[in-house]
Amino acid sequence: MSQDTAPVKQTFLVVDDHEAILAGTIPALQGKYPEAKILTAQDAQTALSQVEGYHPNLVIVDLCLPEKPHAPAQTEVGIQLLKTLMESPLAPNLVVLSTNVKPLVRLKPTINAYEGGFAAMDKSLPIQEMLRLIDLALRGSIYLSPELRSRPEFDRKWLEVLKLKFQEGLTDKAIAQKMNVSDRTVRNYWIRLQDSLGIYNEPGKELRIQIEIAARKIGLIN
Amino acid sequence: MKFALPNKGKFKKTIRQHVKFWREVALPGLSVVGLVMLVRSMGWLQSQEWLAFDRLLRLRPAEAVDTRIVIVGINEDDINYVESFPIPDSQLAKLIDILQTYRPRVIGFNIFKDKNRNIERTKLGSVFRDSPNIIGVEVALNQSETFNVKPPQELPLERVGFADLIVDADGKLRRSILASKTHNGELKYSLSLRLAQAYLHEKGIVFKHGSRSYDPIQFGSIKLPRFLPNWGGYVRADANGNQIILNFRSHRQPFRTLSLRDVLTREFDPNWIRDRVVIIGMTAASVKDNFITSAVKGTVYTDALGIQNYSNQYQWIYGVEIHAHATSQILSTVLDRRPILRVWSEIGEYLWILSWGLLGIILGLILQSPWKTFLSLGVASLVLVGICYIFLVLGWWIPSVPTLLALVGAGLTTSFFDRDLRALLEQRSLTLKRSFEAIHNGPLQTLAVMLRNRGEEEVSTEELRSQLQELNQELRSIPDSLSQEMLSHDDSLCLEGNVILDLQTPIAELLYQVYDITLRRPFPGFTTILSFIPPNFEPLEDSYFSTAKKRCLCLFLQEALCNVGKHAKDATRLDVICTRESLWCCLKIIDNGAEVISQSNDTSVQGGTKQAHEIARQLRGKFRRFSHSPQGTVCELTWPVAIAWWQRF
Repeated sequence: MSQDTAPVKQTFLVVDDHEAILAGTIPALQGKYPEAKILTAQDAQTALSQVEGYHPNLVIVDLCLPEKPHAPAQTEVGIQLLKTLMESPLAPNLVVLSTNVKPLVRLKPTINAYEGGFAAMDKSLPIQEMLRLIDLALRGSIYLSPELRSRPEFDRKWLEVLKLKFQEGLTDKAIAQKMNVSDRTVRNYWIRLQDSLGIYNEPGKELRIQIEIAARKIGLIN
Repeated sequence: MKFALPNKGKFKKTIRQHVKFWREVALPGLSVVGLVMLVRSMGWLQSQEWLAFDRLLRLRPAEAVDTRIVIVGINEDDINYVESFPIPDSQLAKLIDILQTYRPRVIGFNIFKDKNRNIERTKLGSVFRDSPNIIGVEVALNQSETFNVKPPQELPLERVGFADLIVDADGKLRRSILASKTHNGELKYSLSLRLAQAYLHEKGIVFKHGSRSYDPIQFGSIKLPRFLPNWGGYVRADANGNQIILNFRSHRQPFRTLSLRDVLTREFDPNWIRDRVVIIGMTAASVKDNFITSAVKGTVYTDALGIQNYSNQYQWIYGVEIHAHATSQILSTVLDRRPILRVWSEIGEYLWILSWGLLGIILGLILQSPWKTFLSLGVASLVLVGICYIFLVLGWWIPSVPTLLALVGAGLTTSFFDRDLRALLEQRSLTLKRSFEAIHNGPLQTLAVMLRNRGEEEVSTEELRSQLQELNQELRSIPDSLSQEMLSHDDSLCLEGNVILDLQTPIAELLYQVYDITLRRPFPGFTTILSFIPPNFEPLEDSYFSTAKKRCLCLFLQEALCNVGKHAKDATRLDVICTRESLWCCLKIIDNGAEVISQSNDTSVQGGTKQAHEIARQLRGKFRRFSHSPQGTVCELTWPVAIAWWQRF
């Protein structure tokens, strides 16, 4: 109980079967988040048990993973791991690092509706870029590499948030109740709407009103 | 019904089509039937036919015991009783004497007594001489005299019958020789015929026979059908003399049977003997006067063993029993009109085989699924066996084994060939369909977009060139992707370009891939869209989709999205909705563009609509395209969900 009340200590889990990648990633992470506790796993089974045991708030996953130690690495295993994580009530923020993120296209509907943040990037991008994406994921945004997101998409659930807010005037809490999702989910949906509409926090501007104006402009709400 | 007289050319064409059809489809089956008939005529099916014949005979319903005939069988117990073997002539004389006091009509003495030089013989000899109703036996038909056995010399020739029997190639006994010439040219009759003759003579029924052994044998008005070399299942059998096929009396104990001791101790019902045919013979295993049969329900031997199931293929039957069966057969034919076993003419038999072969061919042709063919052939076979059985009960031996072979052989062959042919045709039409789909959903769409743009603004040569090159690329990629798709056993779907989707992927992911890939195409309709509302196909996950259905849905989604890309003007929003309400699924593609397409004469639209309707038909659903309010178009496909059988429970 005391842990809950203490300032939230960040726990990260890095899942990758390549020692070299782990060795490159962890110092960078530790450098940026000195307070964070960083766990590692080299296969899907270990990763799942780590998630259960430590409730990390960020999981960095390689898509191509072995099912258990010494098994061959397969993309399907990574996809299954992501599915399991996205269905779990823990809903950790996720960052996918892979040489090929294309298979993720299958999960897009689930990603859009996911409670936690989600970022996917090519492994070959510089460490700085990775840290930026981790930041985005921790914030609750969705970032998919350009090959996955090539058009302005608005998930039906996000539109429902818009409708409930601006047509029915509900509070976030009421929206969450009505949609049967967590407060965090609704919060993250707002962030995603903001991202998709291209609105940035500017001093002197009311964020929600900005969203409303932009949404009306393109006909998301009447 | 109206009949139109076809004109000559059409008629010729029809004939040619028919010939082609028969050659391709019916010929294999017909050749199987021909082969079966050939094999039968060579005699290679004889033993199978005999076996089936015996089995059906044995399965006939039981008849009444023939009380006209009594067997006095001298068995091992009798030999032990008189403590001497052979049975002393004095005992045999005593046996006949006792029997005579009960006034039998005729006594068949089926024990060889050709030697009369022993002392005890005097009594038996006088019994033979003094009893006008005793018929003795000889063996007369062997070519070599050493195998023949002379009759008792006390008996006149007309009171002697031969005991010769003829056995089939499988060692079993099915025929009885009624009359034959010996090798000296003497016409002789069998014991059974002599007994029947004597019995019927008393009843005033006259025996008629010509001077040649194969002349028809007639009792009163009844003619006994003579066995011929190609009779029934027989092929080129030895039909010398006047033979008849044995119609064994169908009963566990078809005749009353007494033992020597029964008679000597007079332990029997006198009524059993009075006015009956009494046949005396050996029924002792040590005497070896026995034959093999599998056509009877029971014999003295099986009865003595107490065998209950008569499934044994080889049953012992004593000579005396065979004479009893043969005599009984003649008597009940003449007196009771019991059916004699008859067969069809050879032509009739082969027509019968042919017609069942044709039935097999027809079943193989009209029933498309192999299981239905198997089932119907099974049913037809059962019916055939049933018909054969009923005919046999009525006294007709009709071919069963070759008919069964022709039916099943022709049916299976035809089904196999027909399936092959049909699969080929199906494959052809499928290939055509796939090719059209590939062209329609790929280059034709690109072409349509180019044509539309052409009307509106001037396209630079440069742009035109690049578009044409793209089209060229697309067209060239079709054969590759098609062959990949067709050769991978229908488990993949080729979208435009060379994107191959694996149809084994779960339906939701698969459709999302189609959605994502299609929206990447450079269509003008997509450029104006500010908000794409992506679909969630999860509602479909719960039900089962075959790869064919998945292919349909993918093609529909692709086509509907392409339509938006090509025809929607200034659409700013593209909404794809997938819902499921209990047993119906619905896929809607909604845009808010300016054009309403339904009235368009654009051929690609018509092709697309046709394709959409075709897909709806395959899914047993409905396709609609209608205007969306305030503006835009809705493409809607609704179809019923197939519930897998395991989900019904």
